[in-house]
Amino acid sequence: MAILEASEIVKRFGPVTALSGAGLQVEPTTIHGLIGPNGSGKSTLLHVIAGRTLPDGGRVVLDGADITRAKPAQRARAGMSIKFQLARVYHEQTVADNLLLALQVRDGIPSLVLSRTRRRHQERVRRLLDDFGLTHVRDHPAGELAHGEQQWLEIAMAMATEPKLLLLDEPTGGMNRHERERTGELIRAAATTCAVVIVEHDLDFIRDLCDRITVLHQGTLVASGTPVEIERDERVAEVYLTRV
Amino acid sequence: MQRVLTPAWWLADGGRRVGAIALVAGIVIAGPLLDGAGESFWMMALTRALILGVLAVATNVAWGVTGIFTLGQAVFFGVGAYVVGLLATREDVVALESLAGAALGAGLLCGLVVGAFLFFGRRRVGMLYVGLVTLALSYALERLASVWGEIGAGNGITGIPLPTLLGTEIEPGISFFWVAVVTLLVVLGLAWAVMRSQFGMVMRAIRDDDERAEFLGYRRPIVQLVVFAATGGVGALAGGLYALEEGFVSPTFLGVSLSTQVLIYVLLGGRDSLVGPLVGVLLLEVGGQRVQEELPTEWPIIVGAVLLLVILFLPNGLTQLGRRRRRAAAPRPETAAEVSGGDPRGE
Amino acid sequence: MSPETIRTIFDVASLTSILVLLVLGMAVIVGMMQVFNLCQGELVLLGAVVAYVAHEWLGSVLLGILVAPFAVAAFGAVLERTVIRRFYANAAGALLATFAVGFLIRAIVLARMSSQGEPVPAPIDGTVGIGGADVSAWRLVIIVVVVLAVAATYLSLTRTAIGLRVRATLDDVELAAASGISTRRMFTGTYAFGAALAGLAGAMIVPLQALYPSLGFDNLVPMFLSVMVGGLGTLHGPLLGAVALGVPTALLPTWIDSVLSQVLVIFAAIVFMRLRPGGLVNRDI
Ligand SMILES: Nc1ncnc2c1ncn2[C@@H]1O[C@H](COP(=O)(O)OP(=O)(O)OP(=O)(O)O)[C@@H](O)[C@H]1O
Ligand SMILES: [Mg+2]
Repeated sequence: MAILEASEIVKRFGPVTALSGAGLQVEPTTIHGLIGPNGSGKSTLLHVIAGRTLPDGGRVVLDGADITRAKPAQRARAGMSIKFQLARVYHEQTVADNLLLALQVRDGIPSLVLSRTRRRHQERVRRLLDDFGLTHVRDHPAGELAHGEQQWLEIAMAMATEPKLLLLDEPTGGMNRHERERTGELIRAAATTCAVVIVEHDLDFIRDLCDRITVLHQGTLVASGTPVEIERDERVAEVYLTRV
Repeated sequence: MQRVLTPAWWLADGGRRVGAIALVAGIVIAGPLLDGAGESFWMMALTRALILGVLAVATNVAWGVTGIFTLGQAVFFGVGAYVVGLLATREDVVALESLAGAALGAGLLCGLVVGAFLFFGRRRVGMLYVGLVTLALSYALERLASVWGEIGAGNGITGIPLPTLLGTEIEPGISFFWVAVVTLLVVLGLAWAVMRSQFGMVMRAIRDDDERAEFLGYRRPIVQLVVFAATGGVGALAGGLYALEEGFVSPTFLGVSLSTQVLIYVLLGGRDSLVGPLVGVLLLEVGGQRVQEELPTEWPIIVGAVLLLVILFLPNGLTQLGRRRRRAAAPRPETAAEVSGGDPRGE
Repeated sequence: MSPETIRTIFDVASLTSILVLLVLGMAVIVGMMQVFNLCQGELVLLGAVVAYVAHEWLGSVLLGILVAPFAVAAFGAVLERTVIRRFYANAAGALLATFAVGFLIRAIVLARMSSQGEPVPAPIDGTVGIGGADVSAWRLVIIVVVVLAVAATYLSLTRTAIGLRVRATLDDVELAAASGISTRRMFTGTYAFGAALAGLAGAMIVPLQALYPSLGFDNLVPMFLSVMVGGLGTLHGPLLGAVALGVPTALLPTWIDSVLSQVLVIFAAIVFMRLRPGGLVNRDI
């Protein structure tokens, strides 16, 4: 059964129709690429799934539960994590504290006030720092990190609570080749335990990484299939060729 | 614990820690010293300042730490004062324990009601809406209190007797100073513990980017409500003590002028700093008293000018002066690709 | 219509027009520029001060009323260049900085006068008879001036070349700068224009009350609520908001206590804003 099923999503911003019936179906522990030209509605679809905006029509089902109108925090608690297009980490808090923030979300307010769970999360913080190569900056304010490191930190935060579904909006934006490869490895490692949706513009990166790819164009689904199928698909070629 | 005993702990943060402890210790011994020297006027000024300090510390936790832009904190102060005033004069409640408990409870309740209205619901309200609503509440309640005959209208409530503590009467003067000091120390201790706890991290996360916190899974409305109600309760407690200390309550206790006065304490001293607001209160209420004797008309102008300069050049308040200059946070790197949305063909 | 009814209508029109006049400058600065200008009340106060000074030194309130918009505009331009400009990207900073500016202005005015207030006579006093009711001549003048000021503001923003450039700048700074508009000057000019309207309001209403330091600050909450109830982003939104608040505030006292009616209107405005955060006129849908 699919872990995520978004179907017939319609989203309008005033006169602009960002999504007109697009959908996305994601299987557990797969990496799913979401591609399409600028303005095709990729980020908007991700936001509808994550609850940043409510759709004007359609349904979003996470692991069998309808979450179309659930609040972002409810979705996060139901096992969905998102990394935004622009990295959004807490600049004034240290790297380790950013991770702790992500880890402690399910702890009750009384235990947070009494700082009772800090020690319990230490081991996990250490492992995440290690996995993402951030150990050397653990006590630096996150705002001092280089751009790529901030992106990694945000991915680490998104993965901290072992989500069922990880949404990544352009995780390699502004990274060099080496950093991209490293990010690919991290995402692959993540996908052993959860499903991942990646919005990306780098087609080579997507092709190597993804099990399935969905192509959007002007808010509708053009094609969905394995990377090989997508490469052969004429409609996809058309979308990318007619685009100026 | 053993870290506390190392010199490094004491000298951390450019000596601010030592400064804060010295300030608090200075306050504690200033009372008996002033009392011994027969300076009861100054001791009472200090007592009043300490009670206002309780309000300022609570306001700072709501605004400076959690980002709840409350411009009407006097509402809680006034509610606490009226509750204590009414109980003491109409119901003959004299025990400080009961009066303080009632004020705290009333503040908590107000905080819960107003907070639920502000923070819950699908449509998130902006910070400026919170500011305007709290300011408008302060404005409206002051007017309401000034015409409401049942609670004394414009005259407020007068003749509030000094309370008893554990069955013994509190004497005017130094005893009330001790009540104020102990309350302040307890509130400072709680604020210190909360600010450095894991919950403090959540409060700052909500201040700095509440949407991000929600996507991590934090229930923003609940966190804001808890903070707003708790700090409202403490604000009301301060109002209750103030009413007992002064012996009267007036509609101005609820009003915009006190609400903005608290804003000035916090701004001057420093947001998200434990003793900053206290520094602000002491400067204005005790230092101010002294200067005002010499320069009665110029004093508000000095305050206004200093305030403007602080906002323009020391956004973290005067206590920022003692802080080691932090390395400027790296500017948020934004590549052209991100701003424009990237190139779909990739490289 | 009985003289009673005419009186009531006139009172409602008078109070509402005063609120509209107070809000007009704010509609430009807060509504259009979206600068959360907590010193708006003090810009009004400065207008009143000009009227008072003209009366004291030159014996002519009318002259003060004519000069006030220009004097306060000049002050607004300086303020924009020195303080407001730093905070266009930081709404909370603007709010705090303008609060400090307002506090400072009030302190300065307070230092020069008693807090009871100094009376300023109206240029025209006496009453005018309308349908058997005697109404204050100066209040009638204010109503007329408000209608003219609103029309002039509206026309200058929509029908003149400079108004077009102002709106282009507020719509999209970068696009406006790219098309050769000096956006810095537009911001200064717009703020000064809003200040001028506040100055006019202060000079016009001071004869109805007296000059006292919190003349403007006391009206700040109703002014701000009008703007937020009306909605940001347009000129007419805040003005509609002022009418929406002003009419019930003026009318309710016919039946209930006047302070109580003020309080009720404020509560209603707070709830309304919660249910409809965009306000009455919401440009962003
Ligand atoms: N908040 C909004 N208000 C108005 N229009 C919006 C909003 N968000 C998106 N849009 C519009 O919806 C359409 C889809 O935008 P979206 O950001 O989803 O595209 P995208 O596929 O992520 O593009 P990119 O590759 O540039 O990131 C665009 O036409 C965009 O202008
Ligand atoms: Mg996008």
